[in-house]
Amino acid sequence: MRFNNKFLIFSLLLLQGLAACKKDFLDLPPYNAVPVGQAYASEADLSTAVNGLYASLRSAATFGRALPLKGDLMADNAYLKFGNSGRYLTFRDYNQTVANAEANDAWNALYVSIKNANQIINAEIASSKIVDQIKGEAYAVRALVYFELVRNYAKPYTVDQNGLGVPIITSFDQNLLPPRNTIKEVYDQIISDLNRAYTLMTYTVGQSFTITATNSTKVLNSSYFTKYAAKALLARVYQTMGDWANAKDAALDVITNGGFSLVSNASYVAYWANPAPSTNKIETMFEISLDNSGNLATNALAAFYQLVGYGDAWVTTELYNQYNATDVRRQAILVNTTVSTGNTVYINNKYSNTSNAADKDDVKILRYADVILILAEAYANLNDEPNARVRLNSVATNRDPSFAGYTSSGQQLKNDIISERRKEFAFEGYRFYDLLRLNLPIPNHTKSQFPTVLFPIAADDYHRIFPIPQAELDVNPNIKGQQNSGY
Amino acid sequence: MLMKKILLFIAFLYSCIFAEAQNRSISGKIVDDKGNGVANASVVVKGTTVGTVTNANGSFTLSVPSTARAIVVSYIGMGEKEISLTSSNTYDVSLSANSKNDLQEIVVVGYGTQRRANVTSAQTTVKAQEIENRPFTSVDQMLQGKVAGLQAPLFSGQPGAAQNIRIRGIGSVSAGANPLYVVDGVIINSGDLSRVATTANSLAGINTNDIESVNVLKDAQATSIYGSRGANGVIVITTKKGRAGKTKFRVDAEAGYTSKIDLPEGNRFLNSDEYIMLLEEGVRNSGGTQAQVDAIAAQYGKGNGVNTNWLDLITKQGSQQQYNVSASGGDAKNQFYLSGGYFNQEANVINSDFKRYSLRANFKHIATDKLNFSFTAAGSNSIQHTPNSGGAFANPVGSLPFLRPTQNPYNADGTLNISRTGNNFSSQYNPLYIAQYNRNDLNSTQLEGTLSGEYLILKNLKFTSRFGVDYDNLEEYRFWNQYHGDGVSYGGSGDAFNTRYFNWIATNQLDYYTTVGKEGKFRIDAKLGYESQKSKQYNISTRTEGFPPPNSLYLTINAATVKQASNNIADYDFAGVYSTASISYQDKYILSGSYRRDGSSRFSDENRYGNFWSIGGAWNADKENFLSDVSFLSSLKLRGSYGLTGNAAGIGNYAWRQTYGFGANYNGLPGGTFNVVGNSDLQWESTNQGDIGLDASFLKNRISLVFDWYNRISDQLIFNDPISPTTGFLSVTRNIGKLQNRGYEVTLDATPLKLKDFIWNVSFNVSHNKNKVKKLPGGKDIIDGAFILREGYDYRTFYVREWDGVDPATGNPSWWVDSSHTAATSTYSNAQRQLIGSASPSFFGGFSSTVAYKGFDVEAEFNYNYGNLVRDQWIFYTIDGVDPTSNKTLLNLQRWQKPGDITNVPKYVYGSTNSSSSFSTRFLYKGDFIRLRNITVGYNMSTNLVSRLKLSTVRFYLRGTNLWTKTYDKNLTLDPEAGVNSTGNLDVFFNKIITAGVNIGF
Repeated sequence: MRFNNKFLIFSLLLLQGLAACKKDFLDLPPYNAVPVGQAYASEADLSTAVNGLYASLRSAATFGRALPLKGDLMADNAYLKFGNSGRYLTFRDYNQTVANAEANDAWNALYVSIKNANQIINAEIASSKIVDQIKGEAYAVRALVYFELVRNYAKPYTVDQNGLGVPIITSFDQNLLPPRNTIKEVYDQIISDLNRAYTLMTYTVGQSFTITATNSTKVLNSSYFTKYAAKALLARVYQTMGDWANAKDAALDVITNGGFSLVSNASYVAYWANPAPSTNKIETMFEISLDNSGNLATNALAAFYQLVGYGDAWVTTELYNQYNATDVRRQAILVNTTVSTGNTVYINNKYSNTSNAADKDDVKILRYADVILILAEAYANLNDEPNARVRLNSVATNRDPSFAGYTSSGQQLKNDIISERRKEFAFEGYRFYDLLRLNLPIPNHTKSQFPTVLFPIAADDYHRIFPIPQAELDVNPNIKGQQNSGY
Repeated sequence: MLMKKILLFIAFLYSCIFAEAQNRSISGKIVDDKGNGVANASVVVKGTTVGTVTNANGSFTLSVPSTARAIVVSYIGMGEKEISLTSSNTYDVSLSANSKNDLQEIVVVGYGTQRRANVTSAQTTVKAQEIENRPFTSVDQMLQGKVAGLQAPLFSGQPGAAQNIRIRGIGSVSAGANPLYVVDGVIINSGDLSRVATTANSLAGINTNDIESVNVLKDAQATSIYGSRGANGVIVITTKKGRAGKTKFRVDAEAGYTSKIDLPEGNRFLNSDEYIMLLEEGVRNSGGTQAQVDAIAAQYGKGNGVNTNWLDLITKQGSQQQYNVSASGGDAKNQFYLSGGYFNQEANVINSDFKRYSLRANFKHIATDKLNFSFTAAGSNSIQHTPNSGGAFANPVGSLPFLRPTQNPYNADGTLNISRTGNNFSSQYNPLYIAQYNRNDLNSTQLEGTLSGEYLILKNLKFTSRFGVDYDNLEEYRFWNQYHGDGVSYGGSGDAFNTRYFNWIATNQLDYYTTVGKEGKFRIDAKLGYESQKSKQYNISTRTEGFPPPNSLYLTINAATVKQASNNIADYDFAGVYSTASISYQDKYILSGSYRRDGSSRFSDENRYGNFWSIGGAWNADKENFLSDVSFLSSLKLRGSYGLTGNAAGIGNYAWRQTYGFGANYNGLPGGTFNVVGNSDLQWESTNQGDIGLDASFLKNRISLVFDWYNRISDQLIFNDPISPTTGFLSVTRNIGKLQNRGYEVTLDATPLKLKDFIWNVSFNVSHNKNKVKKLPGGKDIIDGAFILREGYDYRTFYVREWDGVDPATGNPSWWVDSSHTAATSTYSNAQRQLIGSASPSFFGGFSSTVAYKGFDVEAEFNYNYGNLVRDQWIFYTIDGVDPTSNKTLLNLQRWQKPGDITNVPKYVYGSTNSSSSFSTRFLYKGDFIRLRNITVGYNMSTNLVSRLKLSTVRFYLRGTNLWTKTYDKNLTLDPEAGVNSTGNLDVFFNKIITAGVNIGF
């Protein structure tokens, strides 16, 4: 044998190298995630998960920008300036197709939030006051999201409650190919979720709870769903359905037991200037928090209105003229004579923290004024006009102390409530949905100003609701034949 | 299993028997074609393992058995020569650099080298001369048109841009279709590693003048030794090494300038008068009154006396220069190659440039007859300024469709105009201000090194151990100034991103050969190795807002508020055992095979390992007696191979895991969501490829031909399989698809004319590839943006509404309702999308011609593309009236104006909502082109003159790059060389470059 020891040594070295191929060399877990199965096991886990759920509502495709903007731009409160950035032209022009990006992106993002809510609701974890509170929040958010889905992608309940709604998904299954449920089924689901949320939640705004395992305390402020916020949403859902008796009951429960109050006239401007969630139960019942790091930057709703951002959406002169000079709400609109040569233009200033690096404007979802005006509208529709006027005027005279109050009745009273709602909730995404649920045309929908180009929208224009997105149709055979008519 | 294989192999080694016999001593000298001694050339007695290497002077002495008939002399890059032994004891042999297709050449293959005679695979070598001193930042950008079957279309003129390469078509949809890059044995992290820069390329850190050769491995036989990562082809880059002998110095210098490539005429933007005229017509056509026409025209600058040509303002003539110095040499014990380089290119668009400083030191030390060590080390620093691309307002090229000629870039006092009121920059930005103050910069430091040792356990058994590292450190800065542009609403916003990649690879390998049979008629070569690799990316990301007044201070330390401060890690590991074996009979018949078993951290433990293999055979027919009389035939080889390779690139490192991730924070409190669906069944994509090839040369190698036919079937393709968005996810990553690429490649090199002082060489290659989607999940179509994946069709088939034209009566756009072309509609969404053409060319390749007369030479390199469609996706904004407040292109002046007008451009309507500019076949064009990639005129000073200067070579040259392009569609609105997806993205225009240079050797 001519072999020497060196060869053996090298052979052994090589073999040792092979032995180094241990199993764990090839098992590398990620550094920023955990297995899903381990993520919903404790109160602290659920508390983290519900933050993730709220954060998912911030998407610019949904509550963060597109949906509240749609509520004003598709109506008569706002228009897109000349030389805009090209965003949301279809909201202005009522010409979206099945390929519409806004419809597609909102659909996807809303169902992401549904999935996040379902994960919390379905967490197999023993009931406790804290677990129930968090699950209640998830139920309320799920209801909010289904409400947004059904009113954007289906005909108004008041028009055809047996028409096609949206698919109801209550647990995760990646193989689901759901058909659309009926509009009524979706509303039933929303009502059921909100009732469940109302029952489960025992903490309210201003209260706090401590998770003992992690010794972490959570103070519930207006950026979390609480018991009476769920009820306020329920009132709005009944209002949208035209179920006035239930709307009245829900609104009255909030007003009687919720402990919320309207913001005072003197504090109105400061209220809107404040970018932070509150615990004082004044005005805000639920808002989506945008803070110094969790925000949408230039893609925020605020930046779409403010000149330092895109500044694309300006206030219609017609809306501005609705406000009396003594109406404090007019102070939320800036008058600008420089940005468009020779013209006076109006800029929404409800969201004034676009350049505030420390905190950004939150997105208001539920305000106490809404509950009062829902109650007024319910009374008016239940033919209790004195009570309707009392509730209506409690808001109207708060905002404009010089105003003597409405004295109207019949249809005029109902019209006054709707126009008061327009003034109260301008740029909060209400106007279009009010006109939608009431199935009213939009004669003053504005394409442009200077010169003003009106583009009246008929009550039956099919573009008033979104198409079911092409991507969903492409992948889901059970929904393929269920496109909204017109698309 | 593994252990058993190794033990078998060792047993095999032990069983070998080595004979000894009576000897005599011979000596000699090996010289190159200039007469210089070649050190370290191998001298082996034919058919035996007896041999030696030459010393620094190229001399050798060798004790040969009395039975020896011949010696074989070889050197990498210079081929091999067989010398019959006579009674003489001295033999002087000259070796010359190989011609392209020399069967005796030693070629680089996976994990080693091989004589071309023994090669059974399809591969192409690109030599140093073809890539040195080219005005491109990375070697991958120089391969277009040079290698049959390889596509490397430009997609951006940004120096240092990423480069997509497709070898034999596209073999993957989501897992990455770029080839594997191996530099001096190290599998590197290639591609764009940056996170802030618009585009970057890790290969741009390698000085292309340091590259000795680039080997493109194409078929399964060549790539399967890279196992799970070989499916897209492998590009093996070998850097220059020193040789024993006189120390050689080389200085290369060139300088020149860049300018934008010619754009189609229809793309010229309108001047102020034309723009206002069109605007007024548009308002009138939208039903506007004269008062409205006047109001709008006044608002957008009618009569303000401004006529800005924004294209002229954002483009410029850039400078281009590179300087390289190298020294190489050594003695019998130590050899070295040292180099330093500087490369600087400014592109044709403002604030787009790239600068690189590079150093390299390659050493080899021969310790004993049996033991040697090698060390390669390279470091580079690249600095890149990259303007945004695509629709970003800060993109200078992208600003062109959104600015008006009536906007004034300057104030009356000459300062830059950033007013946001009136006819100024209300939503668009002044690109000149952005270019001056914003930043999008990359500063990349790259270190690559290997340390290896070789030990000859026996004369025919070599052990090699190599450890290599590939280190990239990327510092990136983004700054949006606080006065104008994206940064305004933040009071200025700045990012500082730091990304570090550390990638190590350890390889241990045994190389064995033996001869069997009478006179060693059978030769067996075998390799066995083990390799493990770990790559870890570590990054830090910081974001700040609120910057102080001096716009020049962009570092985050100056800012008031920290918005993000986070770090993260991402890593992957690979481990594999590989082996190859080949047996040849008298160099006539060769049979070879390879096997690799790979494991990867990217798959679940059920699917962590994969087996890859290949077999191949070759017949060197020219060695047959019956062909020896065919005088015109210089060489003839038939070869074939079949094998299986894998692909696991590009998929997320953790994609198989179903995870719950964090960062969805709320109110400053941590939040998490179920964020990845995962799939534990995920496994490698696997590609089966068959190849049949023919290598032939004729008339004393004056003509050489390489032909390959291949059939490449990529199965188990990883797809993001769309699922119903109602699940909360848009897709699941699954192995569901199958793609086929079938085609052929022809490379022809010839010397049509060779006279005393005159030589003319031509080279031509053409590739045809037919791609077909063979299987999709459930057989269902997948719509991917502008494309559709449908079984039986090309992977890049456009899915598009068919343009019918403009209704001569109304001027309205019209689309065909369906493929029957029986009914047309003026409502975009009523038209059904059709499958039209493809973005994949059916033929592509290159050709070149070199003429040399005395000291002068002229070389022209062309590349071409035929049979695909290209898409203009950004014309949406610049045609028709959808975005009337921005400028329009000249094409719009062909609009319909009155009933009866026959034109392809609809009536111009202000704020048009008829979707006429939405994607349809109207914006698909024939992508055929021929481009003169480089033309070079050179002069080599005569040897007499050079030696009088005490130099060895002096060459001057003048080179033009991208000077001429021929296109075949008169409607074309973009450059047809538009990346692998055949669409532009408002990137920096391609560069037309003129350089003059000098190469001096001494």
